[in-house]
Amino acid sequence: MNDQVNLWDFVASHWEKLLEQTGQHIGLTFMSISLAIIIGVPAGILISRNRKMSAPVLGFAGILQTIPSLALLGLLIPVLGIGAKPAIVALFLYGLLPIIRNTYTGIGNIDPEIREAARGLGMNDWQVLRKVELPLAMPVILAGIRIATVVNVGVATLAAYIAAGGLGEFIFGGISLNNTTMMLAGPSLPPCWRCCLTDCSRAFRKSGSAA
Amino acid sequence: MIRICQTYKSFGDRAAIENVSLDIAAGEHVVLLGPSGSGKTTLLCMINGLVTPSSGSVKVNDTEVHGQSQHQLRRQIGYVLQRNSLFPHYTVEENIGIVPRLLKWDPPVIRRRVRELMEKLHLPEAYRSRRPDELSGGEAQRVNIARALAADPPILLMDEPFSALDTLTRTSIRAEFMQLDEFRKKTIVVVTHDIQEAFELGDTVALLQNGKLIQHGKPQELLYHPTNDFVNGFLSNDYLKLSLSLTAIGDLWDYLPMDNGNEEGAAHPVGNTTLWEAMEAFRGQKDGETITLRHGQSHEWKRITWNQLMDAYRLLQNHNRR
Repeated sequence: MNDQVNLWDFVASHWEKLLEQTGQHIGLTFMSISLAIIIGVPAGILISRNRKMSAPVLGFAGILQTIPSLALLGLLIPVLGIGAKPAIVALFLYGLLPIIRNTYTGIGNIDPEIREAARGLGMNDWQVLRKVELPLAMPVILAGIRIATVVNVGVATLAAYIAAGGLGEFIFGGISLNNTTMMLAGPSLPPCWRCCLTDCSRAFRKSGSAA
Repeated sequence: MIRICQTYKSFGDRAAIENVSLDIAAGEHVVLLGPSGSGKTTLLCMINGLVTPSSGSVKVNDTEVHGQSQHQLRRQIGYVLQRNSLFPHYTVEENIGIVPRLLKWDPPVIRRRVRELMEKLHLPEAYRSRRPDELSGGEAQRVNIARALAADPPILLMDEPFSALDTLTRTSIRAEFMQLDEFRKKTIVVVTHDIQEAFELGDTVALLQNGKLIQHGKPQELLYHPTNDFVNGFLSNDYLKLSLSLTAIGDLWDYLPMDNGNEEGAAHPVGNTTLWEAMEAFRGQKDGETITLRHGQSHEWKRITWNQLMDAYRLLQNHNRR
């Protein structure tokens, strides 16, 4: 109860800083997820066309996922220095696997009969993809994007370690100062907008299926 | 209209089609019949380019199928698939209108065409905005047929179009389908493993076995003059039913006794029908009762008993075997 009051006080007195960090956090996540969608969805489509490529591509993305997040950030410092750039690259690499895999699975799970009907009725490859495969795979692809986003919102807190900002700053500051209130101010926010993002993507999914 | 010439197709080292040649005239209804794995679907898919033959040629309207822009060609060929292949994310109206949309028809024209087809196939107007998963199997297959007919293609390919339906629905949809004016004027190739269906739908039947075309001819030719034991054996289980439904009363006419019959008091007049239907007219009758038959063309009438009908059939059979 005591903490609660202090937390509000803390938020009230640091709201400008908190807002800035939230902005950075959203920026990092948004940039990295956008990149992961731009690369991941076409990659997923490509390996659904060429099944031989699927094992190496998914394997590679899987290996990226297994590298501990802190280590990956550390590994990127010699290459890209410190700041937002290595953080975005690291988050992008984390987001790749769920997006590629769900695109691949979503397209692969479409009934072959339906694809054959599309081709048999005279759609060309692009039309089959745009009018049949993508709309039918969309719920699965969006689920992949959602997983990637949720994971990245969490991992982005670590970006504070390499001076990329974000809500991690308060968390790590709180840990080193043994200040519980400060620690809570950081992580209490990501779950809130995780929920928001989830709802947004649900709404998008509904409108997407009607198109 | 369709000319398949010495085609081969192999998947791996297994030959799916071996040296098949088949000519299909405009307006002809051909049924590709055969057991599972006989290559009938593969042969069908060669016509719209979904399967490319390893060698040989397939021509539609004197142009080679393989090599030209195939999706353009496929828009001119209706295609009905085996199971439920409607697009689940489209409504009934959108599903039916797919090919006209690909052909860039005007939206009002498409709407009119969809409405017309739904009416012809007895789909209620209210179904326009339904999704395929809200339809029964029979309704979905009607939509499937409507989708294939939408752009009024001169050629229609059907891959076991009725096989997923229960017997009752199958019979009624098939009968309705054959009544459609859209159906009668088209060149149609149907794949089926159902012998009754093949004999009912086809002007000619092509029987396949292990990728080879065994016999192609009128249903009567296959039944009465099979080229080998396989054809004979394939049809033998259904021989009687097939023979009774293939025999028109007109064929029996000369073997029926010249009767005194006059049309007054005709209890069971039977029109230009098959022997099978004439026999159905006897159902529930007592021994020795008669039915009255009418010859389709000459409008002559004959009053006959069951025994006279059977005698005539036996005489015709003897004649056919000779």
